[in-house]
Amino acid sequence: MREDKICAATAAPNFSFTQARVAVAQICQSIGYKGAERPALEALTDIATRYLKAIAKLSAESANSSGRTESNLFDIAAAIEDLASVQGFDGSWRVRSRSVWRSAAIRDLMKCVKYMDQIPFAQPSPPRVSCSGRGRVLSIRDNSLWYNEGKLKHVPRWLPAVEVEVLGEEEEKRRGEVKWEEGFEREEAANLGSSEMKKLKRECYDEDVEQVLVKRGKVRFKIGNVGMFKGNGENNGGGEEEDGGC
Amino acid sequence: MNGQTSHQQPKDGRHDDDTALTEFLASLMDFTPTIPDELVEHYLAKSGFQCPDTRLTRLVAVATQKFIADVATDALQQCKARPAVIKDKRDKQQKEKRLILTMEDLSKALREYGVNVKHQEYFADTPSAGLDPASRDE
Repeated sequence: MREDKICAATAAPNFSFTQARVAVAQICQSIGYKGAERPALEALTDIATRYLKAIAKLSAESANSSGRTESNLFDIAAAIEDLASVQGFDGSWRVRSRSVWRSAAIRDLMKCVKYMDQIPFAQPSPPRVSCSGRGRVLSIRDNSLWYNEGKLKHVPRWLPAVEVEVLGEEEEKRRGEVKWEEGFEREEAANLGSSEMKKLKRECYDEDVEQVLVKRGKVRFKIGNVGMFKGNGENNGGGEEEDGGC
Repeated sequence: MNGQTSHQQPKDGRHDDDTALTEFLASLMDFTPTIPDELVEHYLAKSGFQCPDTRLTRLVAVATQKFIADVATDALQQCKARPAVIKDKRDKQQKEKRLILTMEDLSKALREYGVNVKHQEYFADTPSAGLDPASRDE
């Protein structure tokens, strides 16, 4: 309890909490509130996140006690019933409802879905990016596909999603990096160049002389306030320009 | 859900339950909760919850939304039931504007849900703020 209090007091407002606060504010507005005090809104958001975590924890525990890793509808229904037991609901005297449909807590949710106005979140959520910012974190669905049908069959499914680096070709080009296996192909392609180039190369290697194949452009130098000797040996002084190929 | 059973006993109550449940789950795909799926998935994954079904994620989102809406409705009732401080006849518009979520209303509403919210009762800006006037003179 003490740790919880400390966490609540010192919880840094991270991105997920800020998003949840916006959602809670939207719910309050839909009910009829015109505004909210900041501490009250943050307290309600904290309760919303704790409620979410409590459902998740209870569902996961329920699934684990049944020998499963993935929760199903019955686990969630049991968790919702447990959390609703504080206020009480119809049929809460049973330890577990006979069926999910008979559960009053789930029936309330059905009514909610049927009659409640849909208020979408104010902003579209950004795609999830990994901590390093280089790769893409797979969703749980992708993860199961990856583990079942992909190369990582040997990895247990309950492990968290792996980070997959998705580097575009453009980025590779920008970096000037070449994959090791592609390096051979490019080399081969270069070897199959024109016969003239081959001849030229052979000549170069035979003579053992480093020749510049491409003619370089002219470079101009400007040297100011320093005396310059021209080709004829006269010292003019001042800024002079000299053209020449290097 | 069992096709054989449904053929043999079409008026069975359990079959109706299953059909209603299937319809409910299908309706969740079209429903857009205020709490976005990504946010719910984040908090669920944080607590060790694993489920590839989006419908169940939405069910959790709807449950949370309903809980928060219930709490906020109770707090709003507390706010409306409180006697108005400003007794001015022409302040009807102001009364509507005063529908603001406060810590006081929220703590009263949350008490019914088993959550005890306590906030500091006053803010002492000076060391002598909460003392009696007589002791302050001393």
